[in-house]
Amino acid sequence: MSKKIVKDMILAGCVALLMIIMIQGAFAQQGVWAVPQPERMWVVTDIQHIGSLSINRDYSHSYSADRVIEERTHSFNANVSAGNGNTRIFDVFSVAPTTRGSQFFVNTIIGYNPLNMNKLNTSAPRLMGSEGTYIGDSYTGNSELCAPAVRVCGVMGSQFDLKRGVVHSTTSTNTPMSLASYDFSSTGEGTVSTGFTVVSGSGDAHTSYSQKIKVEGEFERVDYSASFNPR
Amino acid sequence: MRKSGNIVVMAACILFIMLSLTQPVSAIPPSEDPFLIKTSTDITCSGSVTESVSFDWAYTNKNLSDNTLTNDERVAQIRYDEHTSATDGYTEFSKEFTADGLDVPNLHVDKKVGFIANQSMTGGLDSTEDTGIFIASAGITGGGSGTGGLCIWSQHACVPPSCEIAVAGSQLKDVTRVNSHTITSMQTSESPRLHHEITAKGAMWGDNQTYGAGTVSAGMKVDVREGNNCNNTVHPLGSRLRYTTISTATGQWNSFAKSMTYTSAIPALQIPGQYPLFP
Repeated sequence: MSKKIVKDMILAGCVALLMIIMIQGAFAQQGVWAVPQPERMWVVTDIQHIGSLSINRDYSHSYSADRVIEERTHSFNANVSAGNGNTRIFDVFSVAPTTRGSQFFVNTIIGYNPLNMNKLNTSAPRLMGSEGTYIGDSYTGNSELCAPAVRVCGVMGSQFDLKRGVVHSTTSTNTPMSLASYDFSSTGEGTVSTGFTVVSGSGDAHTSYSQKIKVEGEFERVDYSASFNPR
Repeated sequence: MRKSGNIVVMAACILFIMLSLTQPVSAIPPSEDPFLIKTSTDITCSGSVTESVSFDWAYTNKNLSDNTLTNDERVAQIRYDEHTSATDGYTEFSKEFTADGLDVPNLHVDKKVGFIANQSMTGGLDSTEDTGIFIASAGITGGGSGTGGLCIWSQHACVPPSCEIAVAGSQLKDVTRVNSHTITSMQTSESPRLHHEITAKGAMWGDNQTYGAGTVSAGMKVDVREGNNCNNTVHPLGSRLRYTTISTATGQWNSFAKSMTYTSAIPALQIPGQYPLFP
């Protein structure tokens, strides 16, 4: 009984602190957010499930402000066909405004364990899905700061089709610096693909990088990380 | 049900607090260059693995999009392409890639591939790496710039026009057993240099070192041309250097190693450059 009271008190304190921060945040926004901003939002998903499952998410924002045009597009979907497999999904999605853009963060972990797996059964239930993020940033030139016009575009993501296993991906982007990082790891049996592409250009330079990976079979480790940093 | 609901609420609460405490990133003037790209890949798989990379960086001290080489313009390009395909076998693959527009080397890649084909005779590994630097310079006709350029030996000095092309690479083809390691390093923003090396031997089978099986190749090509004056309209050829090497081993090999390096010797203006003492 006493444990329940303590837990409720912690929860109540947490909610109170949340409200205080929200109020402070509302005041702090004044004068700082002088230009259109992506809204602050966050979503936490935690599912443990046996049977069929479907989860989808699509997000996009674009805005222009002080010499910056920012675009973000993100999609995620996962499906488990009918069966008695055990699925676990933990997902955190957040967008927070900065002075001239946004901090974008997604962390997704999916695990699938078919009970009584029959390797010879090709129609056995499986976990299938994909996640991907597009970033596009344009900076107009600023002669006072000797800053040239620059355009940065990037795509990162993965696809998975697993008889069993775990997929973990983390995507993080940050404007106005156009920092972007992507981490992907997986273990299990089936097929996973991942990759990262970035293109940046200005009047006197052009840079492009593209990497694609596909792994098929039984894999004990697929670890991939990529980052782009216009310093 | 209520318990899991509470956990979600508390987790969301903590996350929100963390996000709220995050300070906005200071606005930094965007820069066209330099950049930093880093990727890390680590794969262990019984089955099939495909991996490919393409990198291209081109820049100039003038305008890249006008597609012409104007007076005193210098254009540089670094390219790196790699493709690996392993089918029906056990693969261990690791790769560290860094492209840096500020510090040298501008590109550094360290790649290791271990592969043993299945007994089914259908397995095999193909892996190719191509690297290259290209530098085109219209020469320097106006002498040095800045305070250092006031040095009497820098004034009116010139560097003739030049073109440098250096490419290198290595390839594993229809390989059924291998343990290979390649290192690639390139730079153009300081003393232009290209380096590629490969060591390939048989994969470990238990405690035993087996022979490598299949075809392994490595090579380099260099073509450098320099003018002999700084005339803006007439460009007589002052020197030309050409070099080609390709080595190929097919069958079973105990070891295969080749290291190739090109370093540019195109002269620079004699501008005093001792500052700073502690860079």
